[in-house]
Amino acid sequence: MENITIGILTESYVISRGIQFIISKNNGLSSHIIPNSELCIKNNIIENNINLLIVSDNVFEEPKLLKLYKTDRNLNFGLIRTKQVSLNSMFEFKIDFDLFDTEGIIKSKLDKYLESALNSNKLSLENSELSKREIEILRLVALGKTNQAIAETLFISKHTVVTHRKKITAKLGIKTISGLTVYALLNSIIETNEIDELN
Amino acid sequence: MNITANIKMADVIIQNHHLLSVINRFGIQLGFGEKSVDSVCKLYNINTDFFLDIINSFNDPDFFPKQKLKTYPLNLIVDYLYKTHDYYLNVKIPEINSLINKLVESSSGETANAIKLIHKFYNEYSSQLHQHIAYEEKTVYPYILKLEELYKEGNEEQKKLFVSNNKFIIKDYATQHENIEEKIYDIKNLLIKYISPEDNFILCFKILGQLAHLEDDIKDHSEMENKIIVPKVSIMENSLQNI
Repeated sequence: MENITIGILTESYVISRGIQFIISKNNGLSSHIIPNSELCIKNNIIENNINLLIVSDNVFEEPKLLKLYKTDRNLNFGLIRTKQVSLNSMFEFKIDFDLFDTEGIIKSKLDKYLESALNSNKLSLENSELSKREIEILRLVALGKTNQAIAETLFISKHTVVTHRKKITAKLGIKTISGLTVYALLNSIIETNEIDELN
Repeated sequence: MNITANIKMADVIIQNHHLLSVINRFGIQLGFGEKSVDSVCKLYNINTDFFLDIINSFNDPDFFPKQKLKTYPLNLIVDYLYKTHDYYLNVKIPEINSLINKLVESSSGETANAIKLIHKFYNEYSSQLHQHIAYEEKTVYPYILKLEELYKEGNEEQKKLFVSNNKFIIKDYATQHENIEEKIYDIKNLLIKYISPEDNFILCFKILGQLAHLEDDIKDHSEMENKIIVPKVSIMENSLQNI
């Protein structure tokens, strides 16, 4: 499973630290407290590879957070309710904490989130067979062809090649050309002598 | 748990034996008896605070005191990175290589062919790592050390001369780590998914464990370079360019 890294952003250091303490008890989860004074939250998120941001309702209502919610599609949001006002229900929060939740409840909400994140990942794994087109492209990548050359060979746009390559990497979890070449050889998508001919 | 100056060095290692590789980099030998971390550091002439920050960041993946690390002089950090390189090239890389060799030798048929392919990929990775490290040691680190020296003590003329003689800008270098980390990830991935060494699975586990250690170590190393060194050097570069 992709690592889940949590960012915690509230108006109170004590609350953030408390949430972080409970999260740290959950195996395999790392978290960063983002100070409320942080001017560029986006950078902080990128720098720390945060993919789940837990914010308090007060902070969430600030324009910079609302903007982040609307623009960053890869970031999931969790909420900590600190006041008795309900937020607009159009917002989707992966986890919904209440300030007065017990440790047990916080833990179980987190576990539930992790389980669903894990399941969604499993789903993509089960469907990870490469399509015919993807195999064709993988073959050319493994033979050392550039995106431009692949586009010309298959009469598709360079942009389409890039999209296919992203999908291949997502399905196989292999990121480098050398890695893809080894995969292609192991699965007889290319043969050793084809590479020897190139060298 | 954070490791602090007054904890016994022996307890630090007993608690997490992976830290052996880190104390080794600082030149610390075993046999420290009941001495505390601080006493051992003093004995070896090591900055205790720096040692603690390094060892804690290895011990706890969430621990990375960016602001505090930025306060150390660059020569201290660079010296540590040199030692880390030495550990990769002279200990870790050959160790994994000989394990993969053993795996190739003790396998047969299809599996042996598959492992040979991965071995080739590993060799490619290791020569890339050698090249990358050579580049850092011959070009990047000397540049950084000279820059820091001038930034602290140089006169205006020396600084101007340095700027006009050096086209190298640290940001170019900051993006180069990614590929190195990706390759080691791929090797692990391929081993886990596509190799089934019937009789040698224990050896295969060992290789995977070693690869994972190296991967974590290199991540830590790059983090130090990208989050501490690069920003610090950028500030110095800007200051020199604006004279």
